[in-house]
Amino acid sequence: MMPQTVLLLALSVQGDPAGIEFFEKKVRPVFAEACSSCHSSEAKNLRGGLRLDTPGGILRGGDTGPSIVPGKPDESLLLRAVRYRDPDLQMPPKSRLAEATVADLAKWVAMGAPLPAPAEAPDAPGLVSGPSLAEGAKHWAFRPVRDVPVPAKAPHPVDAFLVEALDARGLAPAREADPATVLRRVTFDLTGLPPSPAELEAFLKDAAPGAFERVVDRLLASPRYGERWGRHWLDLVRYADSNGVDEDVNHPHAWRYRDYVIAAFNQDKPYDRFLREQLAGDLAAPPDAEGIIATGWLAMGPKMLAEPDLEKMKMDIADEQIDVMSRTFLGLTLSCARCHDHKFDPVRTADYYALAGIFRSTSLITDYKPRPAILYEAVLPGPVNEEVRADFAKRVAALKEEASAAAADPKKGRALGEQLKKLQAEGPVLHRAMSLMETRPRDLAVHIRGSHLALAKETTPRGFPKVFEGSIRPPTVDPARSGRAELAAWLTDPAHPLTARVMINRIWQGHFGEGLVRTPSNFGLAGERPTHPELLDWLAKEFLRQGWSIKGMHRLILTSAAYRRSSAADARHLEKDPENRLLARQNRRRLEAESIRDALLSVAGALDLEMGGTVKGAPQGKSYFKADSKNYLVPRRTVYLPVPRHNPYELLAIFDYSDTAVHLEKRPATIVPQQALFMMNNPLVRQQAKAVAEGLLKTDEADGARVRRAWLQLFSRPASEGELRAVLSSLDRFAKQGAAPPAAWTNVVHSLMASNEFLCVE
Amino acid sequence: MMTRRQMLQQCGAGFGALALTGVLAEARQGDDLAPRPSPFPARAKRVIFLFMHGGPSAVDTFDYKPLLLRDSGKPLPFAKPRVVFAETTNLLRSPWEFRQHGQSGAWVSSLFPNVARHADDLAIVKSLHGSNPAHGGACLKIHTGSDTFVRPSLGAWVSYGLGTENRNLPGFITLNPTLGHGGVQNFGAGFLPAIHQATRIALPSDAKSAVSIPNATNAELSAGEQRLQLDLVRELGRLQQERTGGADAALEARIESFELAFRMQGTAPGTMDLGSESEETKRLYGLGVNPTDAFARQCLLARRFAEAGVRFIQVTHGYWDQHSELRSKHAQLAAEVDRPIAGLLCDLKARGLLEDTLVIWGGEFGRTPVAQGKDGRDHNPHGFTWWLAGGGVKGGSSHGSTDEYGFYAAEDKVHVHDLHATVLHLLGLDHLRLTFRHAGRDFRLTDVEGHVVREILA
Repeated sequence: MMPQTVLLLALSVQGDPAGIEFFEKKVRPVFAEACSSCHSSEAKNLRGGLRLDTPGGILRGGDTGPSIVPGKPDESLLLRAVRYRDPDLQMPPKSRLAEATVADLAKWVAMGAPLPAPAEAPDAPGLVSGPSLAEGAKHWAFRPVRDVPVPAKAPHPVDAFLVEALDARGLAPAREADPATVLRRVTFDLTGLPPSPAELEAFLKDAAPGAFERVVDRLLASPRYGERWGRHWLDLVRYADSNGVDEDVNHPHAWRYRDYVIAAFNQDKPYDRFLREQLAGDLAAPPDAEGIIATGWLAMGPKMLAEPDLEKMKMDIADEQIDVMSRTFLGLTLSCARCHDHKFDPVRTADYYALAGIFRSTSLITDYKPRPAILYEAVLPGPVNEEVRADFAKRVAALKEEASAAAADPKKGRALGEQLKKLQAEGPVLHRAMSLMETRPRDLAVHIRGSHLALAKETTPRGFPKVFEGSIRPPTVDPARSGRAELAAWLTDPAHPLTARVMINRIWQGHFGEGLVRTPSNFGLAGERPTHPELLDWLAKEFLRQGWSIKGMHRLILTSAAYRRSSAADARHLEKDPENRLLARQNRRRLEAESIRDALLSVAGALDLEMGGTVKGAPQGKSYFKADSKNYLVPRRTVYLPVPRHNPYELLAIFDYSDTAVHLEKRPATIVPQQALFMMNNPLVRQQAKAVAEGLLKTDEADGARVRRAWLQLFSRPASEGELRAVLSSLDRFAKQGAAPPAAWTNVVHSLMASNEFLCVE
Repeated sequence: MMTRRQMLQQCGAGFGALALTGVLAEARQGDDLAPRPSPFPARAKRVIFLFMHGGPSAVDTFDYKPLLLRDSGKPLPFAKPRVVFAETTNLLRSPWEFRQHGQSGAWVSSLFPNVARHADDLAIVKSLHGSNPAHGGACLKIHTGSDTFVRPSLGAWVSYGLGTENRNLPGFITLNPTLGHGGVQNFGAGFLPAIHQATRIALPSDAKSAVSIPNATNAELSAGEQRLQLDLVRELGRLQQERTGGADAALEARIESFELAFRMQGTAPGTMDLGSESEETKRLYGLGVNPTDAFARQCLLARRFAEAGVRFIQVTHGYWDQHSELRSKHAQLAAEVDRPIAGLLCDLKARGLLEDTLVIWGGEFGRTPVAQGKDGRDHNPHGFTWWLAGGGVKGGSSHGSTDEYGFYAAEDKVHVHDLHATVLHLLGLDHLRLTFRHAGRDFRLTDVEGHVVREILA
């Protein structure tokens, strides 16, 4: 195109001095006055890549193409913009130009757009930013995982790496925490629940070597483990029982995915398989229910289901999937490259659209026309539905028989016939799951500035970010398929530099409160660097050596001395390492919302440990979910309570799980008065306090003994003398105010539940 | 234990420990709710946002279009938008009469006779435009600036930028919000610290039941008993610190947050008790009479919150979505809010509060000048009207215009991002500098857009 344009320009320059005068008098002043603040060298940010202060810029146009077609005003973007009749392209953006000015511009273009000077070299496109691929590929996270020798510093490899770093800074590790503290810590870490007094007693009595290892094994084998760690995973994939954003329609089958995740953790499903199932489980031949259910998270994003611009809706859905996929599995923010090259990482828009093609070759919507659009619900194959179908067939047969028996009574016969017709039209109520469908495979063109209305000329073949090509050979995407299976294969390639590192870092974070990389979903150049890069790589390799076993990694990390250290900091630690990056000690952590509720119910003996399925009141069917507090009265573990995005359970919202629509890499732990109000006044807390108090008062014993029991029950440790005195004197004061023993004890237990110790893990 | 950095990031309240070690000044910087001075002179200290959910029609309220009157029934002489929500037909004149009001001569329709009397207090922006023609997207756009991603809401950004003036009350309150069309995200904190999300207060439908902040009342325990409970919590905290060695800022902050909560539940009921208002004031808002009572109570409560130092108060009214029955329903809805809004402006002015309280009024979009059915209008995000009043706003001004029929914003267009930039500016916040680092980069309410509409500044 360029040579031709230059030729046109050359002709116009030579042949038309009157035209140039017209440009100087009527056009250039308009560009200078109305356009230069965004489209010239004066612009703070050049908009749309368009410059109107140089002839080259005018002819080359911007990101959306040439601004003028000389001689053809009606085909020129410039005129479309200033004529102001296209709502998607109106310039200047604030106010349209006077009619006469628009007419002048049209006339100038009709004249062949004469310009005063020959075109200089075209301006750089202005879209490329961030590091070059070669530069960016040097970033630690894009380099292969190294084989690192374990330093000879401590018997346990994890400790060996940590002690080496501490030695280098002249710091000594903290002492080991007392056994009760360690038991409470590991029990909450692995199950999200406090240890029972009996478990505490057993642990304290077990003097044989390996007592702690046995506790770890017991906890890993407990079904409570999957509920706890499954919930961590659900945070990453923004699990929810309703859509949120514009139309909060139900995700009626979301719970199956939740149960799948919990089971996967309990079974210690190898991480690579877990990942493959979640990306492409539905593509197995023949398809099995579990694989279909595993892809449910891809359909669970917040989707603009009433968006009238369908192309935009589809791109937004794919974008959200890429965002969650890349942050969860890769620890990268790939969706930044939707509108422009990534500002920090070596990721280009072409990389983004190569991936977007994969997701756009699938669909999670069966009908886009209604508002909200209708979500795909996959019928589950296999035995689950066979029974339903058989039952249905029986009902139909029975009805038919009844109808034929009623031949003598035409009125009854007709009624039964109607009934039969209706039943057959409705069909059996089959078990279904959220999932997605393969659609016609397509490669996408780069969307200029992220707009589906401005496409690059050529499409980008489906594939994977180029920066990884130095470390892994990308699989070739089968042209007949979406490419999800290839994406899964690419991610789980043992040579992938990120997949194992990112996951092992998340497991570490679950045990220390912070990851070795403290930006767990951003390993890119804007993320933090690992505090212990060798340890991270050694663990990543170990993860692969142990066949991607997540439980193996827990066992490895938990059996280190580092895990069992006290969280108390001495002055030297605080001075040399205030953020505890070297892990000379453990971190004190506040419980997550789910653990707070589960612990309250658990210590009161009220927790219902039934697993899986939908909870009464959870979203069912295609309607909108009407949430009210009654939905949350079921004493099931919190992970099983409904998660409606538009009206979340207040406990979750107050204790830092307020937005269930976005990938959450780490729960914050804010301290706000709304939390205190909840602990002081919410009936949930009061009821559990009452139940605990009743239990304490059941036996005939001295108040001191009751306090000791309360401590074992609530804090999993013996009470100190000071604590005993404090509670007894508090009981006294309540009595003086006229409280009978049940009320006084309830008040005291209520206070214990609101205490820091109850809400934290040491 | 927490690092101080974490502590500073996380704590909404309670700085006993830090204050004692003499780093109070620094602590304040990280204390999410500490009142912060505006980076440059603020014209307003707080916002009352009167949100008209559903989309009130501009051409029937504040955007007078004589040509629409003349050409009613004729086809729109230019193209309709590429993407529309519903099918529409020809131009439809407004059934309401427009008149000029005040010194400024602002045109207001007969739907708002009382608000019209405040014409000289209003800056009417007639060229507002967004992009999303569906309620959910448009609600999210108007509240969070994005109809594509989950982002913090305007109120949360303001709370984040300015903190609270009264720690005994939440800094951001939303009264009777809609839970559809964006739901909690319309007043959520997104990736900002959770303290900045709105506290949702549901007003009971009858005037007799007391209004309360969630979890701020206790039927079983007296204040005296709760005081004793908190004393025990405090004592246990002290013993814990003794046992685990040394002070921990987070532990102390959590204990302080209980004290704050205790004070909050003591003072909030008084703030929310409308019974202490004079009969004259109640009349002014239209309390106790139909059809204004429900919205009057919300507006009066908003004023009381504003007076008490709540930073951002949103009041929601609906449902202005007249795809049909425009005549009857728009008339009914306007009658419900006209007097309470006028009463609010009057009352704020009388108390000197209008000086530094910014009142903003509008819906998620407007409605088309072309008809849907016989008596309805479709959604129109391409050109609609909002007005602002109070702190720092040029009263009696009108800014921007739509085309001759009121479909597209045409002159001095104001995008939703521009509106947000302007609101922040009036509060003394620079929308370019009010950023929060999340997922590896700095985010703004106005994304990469936004221009302050200087023409409406006093």
